[in-house]
Amino acid sequence: MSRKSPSLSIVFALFVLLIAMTSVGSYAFFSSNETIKDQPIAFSHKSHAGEQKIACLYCHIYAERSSVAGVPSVQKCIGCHEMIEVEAQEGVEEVEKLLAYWEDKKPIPWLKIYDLPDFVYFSHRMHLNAEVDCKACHGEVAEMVQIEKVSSLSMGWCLKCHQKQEAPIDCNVCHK
Amino acid sequence: MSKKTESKEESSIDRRNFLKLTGSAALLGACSQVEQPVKKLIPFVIPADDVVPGIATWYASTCRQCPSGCGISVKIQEGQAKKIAGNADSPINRGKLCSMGESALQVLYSPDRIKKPLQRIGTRGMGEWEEISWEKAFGLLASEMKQLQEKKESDRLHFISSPIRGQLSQLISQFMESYGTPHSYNYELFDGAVQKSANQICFGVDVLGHHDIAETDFILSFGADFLERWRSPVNQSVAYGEFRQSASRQNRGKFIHISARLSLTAANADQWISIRPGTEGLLALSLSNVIVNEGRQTKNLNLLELDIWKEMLSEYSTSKVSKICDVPEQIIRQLALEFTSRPRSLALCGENATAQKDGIFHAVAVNILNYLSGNIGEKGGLSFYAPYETIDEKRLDWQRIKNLPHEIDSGKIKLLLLHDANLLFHSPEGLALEKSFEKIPFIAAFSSFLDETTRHADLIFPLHTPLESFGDYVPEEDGGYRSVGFMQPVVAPLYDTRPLGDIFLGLAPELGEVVSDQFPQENFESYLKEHWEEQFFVSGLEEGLGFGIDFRPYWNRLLQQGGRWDNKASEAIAVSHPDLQKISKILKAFKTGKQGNADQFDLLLYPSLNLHDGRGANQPWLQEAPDPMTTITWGSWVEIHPVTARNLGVQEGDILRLSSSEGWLEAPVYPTLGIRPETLAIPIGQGHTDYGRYAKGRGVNPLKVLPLDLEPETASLAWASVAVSIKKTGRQSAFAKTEGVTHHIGHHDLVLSMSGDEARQLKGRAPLEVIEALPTRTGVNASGFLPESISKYLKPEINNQSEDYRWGMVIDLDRCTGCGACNVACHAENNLPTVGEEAVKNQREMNWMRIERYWGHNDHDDEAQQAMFLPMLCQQCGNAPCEPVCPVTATYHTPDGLNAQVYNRCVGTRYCGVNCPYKVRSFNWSEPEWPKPLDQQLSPDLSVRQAGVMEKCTFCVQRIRVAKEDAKIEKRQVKDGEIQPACVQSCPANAIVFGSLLDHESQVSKASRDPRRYRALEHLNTESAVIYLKRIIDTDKKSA
Repeated sequence: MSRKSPSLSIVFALFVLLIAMTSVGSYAFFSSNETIKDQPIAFSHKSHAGEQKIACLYCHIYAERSSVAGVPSVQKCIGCHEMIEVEAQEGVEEVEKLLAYWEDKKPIPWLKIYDLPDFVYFSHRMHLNAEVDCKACHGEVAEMVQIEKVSSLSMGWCLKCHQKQEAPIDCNVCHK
Repeated sequence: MSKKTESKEESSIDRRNFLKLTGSAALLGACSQVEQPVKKLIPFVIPADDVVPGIATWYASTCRQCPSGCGISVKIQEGQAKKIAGNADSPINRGKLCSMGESALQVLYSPDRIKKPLQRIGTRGMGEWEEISWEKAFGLLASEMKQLQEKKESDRLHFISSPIRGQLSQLISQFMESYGTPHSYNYELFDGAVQKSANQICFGVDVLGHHDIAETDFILSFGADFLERWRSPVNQSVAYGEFRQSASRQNRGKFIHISARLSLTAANADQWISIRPGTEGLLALSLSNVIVNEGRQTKNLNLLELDIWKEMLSEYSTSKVSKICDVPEQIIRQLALEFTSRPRSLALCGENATAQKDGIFHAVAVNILNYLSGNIGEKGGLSFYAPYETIDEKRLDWQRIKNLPHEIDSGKIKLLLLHDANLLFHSPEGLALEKSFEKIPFIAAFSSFLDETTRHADLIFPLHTPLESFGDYVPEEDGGYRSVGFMQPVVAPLYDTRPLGDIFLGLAPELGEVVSDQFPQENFESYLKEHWEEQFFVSGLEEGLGFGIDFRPYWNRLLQQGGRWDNKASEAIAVSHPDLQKISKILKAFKTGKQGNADQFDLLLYPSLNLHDGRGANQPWLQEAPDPMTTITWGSWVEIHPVTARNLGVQEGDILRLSSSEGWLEAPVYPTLGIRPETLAIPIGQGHTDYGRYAKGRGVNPLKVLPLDLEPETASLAWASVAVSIKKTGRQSAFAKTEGVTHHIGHHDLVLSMSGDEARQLKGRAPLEVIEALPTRTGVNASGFLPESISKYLKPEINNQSEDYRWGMVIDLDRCTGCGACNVACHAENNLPTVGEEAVKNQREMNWMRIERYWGHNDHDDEAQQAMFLPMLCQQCGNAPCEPVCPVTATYHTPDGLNAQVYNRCVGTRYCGVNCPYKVRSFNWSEPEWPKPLDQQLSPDLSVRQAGVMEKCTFCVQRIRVAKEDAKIEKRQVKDGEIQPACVQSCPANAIVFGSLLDHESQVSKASRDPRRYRALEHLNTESAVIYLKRIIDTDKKSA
């Protein structure tokens, strides 16, 4: 590749930087580790996956067979919470919220933390089949009081791992 | 890899980096403009047993787009219906589907559905409505019905429905009987009554009859468009594929079509014989005449009977008939000889002939030809089967319809209930049915759409569509499999609608014990279940299940497999002897002669392939699916012979006014060689004044100008033709058509055919030549097609990857009928938008898979009326011209041989489209629109492309992906046949085979080695992965 005017490229880089800075606020949305605070229930993965040692797949039941891992049904939550002694749960505000959803037979409108654009195909099933640990993308969930996004989910981030693992890097594998 | 990073570090700006940087700058800019919505994750409250998010579930049902009753499977993802495919188990359609069947999702998700019960507020027919509650709607109708009951005028209630043919019709007749009215009718425009009546006369059976197309050697069709909307088109197309090319048969079947207009079916024939319209029966009788006089009749005929026939047929000498029919004498003789010299032959009589005033004559004449040639009840012939259940529905014949105004005037109809029978769209202007309807005291309609007839109601009950309802359907014709199709709700109801059965069950308690006692059931589902529980004991015994076995598993099986049917065809009904007296009377009653004055033209009406009798007109997929013969979309046209057009001084697009005795219509002309010079033709289906946004105000409705001529035997409307005089209007309109040029210019290798003789010579060759499969990506010749051809465009880094598959496709043009089902299937599967009439006029239609129609099949045949069809889709070239010109590498070659398109990478330069010799790339000129709830059909398996993106066929890569993943998990290779792109899946004639060319045992690899193989524009050295097999046109007379 032949060397072209470096000054031009510097001007250009500055231009890009300028635009980047003006939009830095919304850019943060894509890249930061910021936690979304207003989940309908302050669900703690630390207490469930960490202290209670509930396996990921116990709740995210579709991960092994489908592209999506699935969020547990309200019934699933109640299934356990029903069995726990009433006294232990009484007055725990977040559990009360759960019971209210169950009472009304309404789904819990969780906010989505890990989201991929519509043009990307991603399969939990294939990653689990390739024995990729949940942690590889979702981090130390068992230690998170509130779930946070630990990976950028950018194409470069995906590819880095795919290359390392010698997984397919053909565009069509992920782009739909 | 390391080299690339180095060049980056040098921070030079090459084109690639420039685009990258501007791209990212633009993206960041966009980010600051748009606030990203936070998406939600909504869990189930209680998870459904059979739903795994992300994995589609297929539910069986029965297609109700036309009366054929094909079995379907509906793909459901997260509660939404995404795709319909044929049910492979169904004996009707064997997993295949036509364009209308594919489009049923646009009925379910139509933006024009009626969402709540409506009460009329303005004057009748003005279309001003008020939404009311179901209670109020029930109350209003019940009080009207009660009033009649009290006045002892129950019989003044009339109910007119489209044929239901299932337990629902049982419920309704039970309801009407107990209420006290005998006036419960069903109505269908194309109902086959004439054919049934002819079968009764000739064979003593009152059923339609099954033509064994698959097994016959020779088809002689008298205007029967059996590859279009005639009878059960998918069933017939599946059989047609076998008739043409089947491993299990010795010889390819030969097919000759006789009609005044070159229909799609006629274009598939080896020979089209143009005949004066309305004389088809005469020709059939003349053939019979030759057959009996030359002693070629069936051996089963005794001498006495033979003499009677000889005498009866003596009038129909070839010399006489030849003049009337305008068919050369020697062709008539030849046809007669060929028809009887093949082991199995079959004559069909179409509605062009039977929907005439003397329709019964034509139907009887063709029956006689089949009878004398010994085709009745034989393999490859015509047989009659009894349906599984007798459905007791009273047909509303046209005599009754003709009498409706009189009955209304005399107060015999005080309350009219309508269900899906669009009488006001079908009835000729002369009947003035609309005016009469105004005098009916109360009209209630049960419908999902505000069509022309529903619009005149006072009260509308919105119905579930078939995909939201329970039901069963007994097809009239299923080849003896005694099948019943089942329907089940595949999605939750979209609106506040109800199934028709539930509405009647809801009305019953209001109408006193006489009615309510009949119906203890709480809803139609339990009514249906009760009936089948009874049936279960019968068929349970048949199937050796015995008594006392739980019904539930049987019920579940009915729903799961989409119905019940036998594993093999039952015995045909024994036919009785022809009623010779009656036949003689019918033959004598026939008068030849032109309709109307000498200077008038015969205007032929025919059902539109995509719109049927008009019911498909509000489905945008069907509107935008090109008519196969003219490639016109979104409108009406009049077919005219070029010579006639020249004499009149009109050109394509000039609007003519056609006036009949009853009225006039105006439509632009489309000159075509596929019509007789003294004849015009126009399709039925457009010209809606209502029905929805896609149908309304589009084209013309030729049924309106018909005189009220009825066929006397069955009181059927003679809709097939009308005498018209023509006048130029001086106005013009451009067609929204997809054809560019009509002839393939100069290229000898686009759409190819061979003669019957050439084809027969191929027989001697080894069926599977030993050649290696197509190249994977290297482009190095291994295909046996071309000498060394190494691409200069190849990118070694891709080509060196090893891969297990090279996807390829074989399209057998000898099977392909050009029906275009693949086109609609592709739209449904791949989130393809419809662009509308104006955009099609600008050639901006979005078709990944289209049917190209060319005239003439070789260079010496320029003025031949031979239409040739070529399904054109991305050829997935091994040496693709599109790939090297993309500046952003949005299109590239996958290791398994696809020309992939990465939509989010595409910047819309359209270079690829320019460079593609096949013109199979579609560019989104505008933002696609899916008015809600049509968007619910969009598949999540692939992106919904936006404006400014180039898109294309990828052999349904989303399906390939799933199959490859399944294989990977199960640690195996993808099995042959495991992947079916949508076009392959739907193709009614099984013309398309898909698979990996690297697997020499695969279907596609075997088919690609057929001696008829060629590739389109092969001289361009694109190394395409789509292999066509030449069509055979067998015009050889000696071949018999």
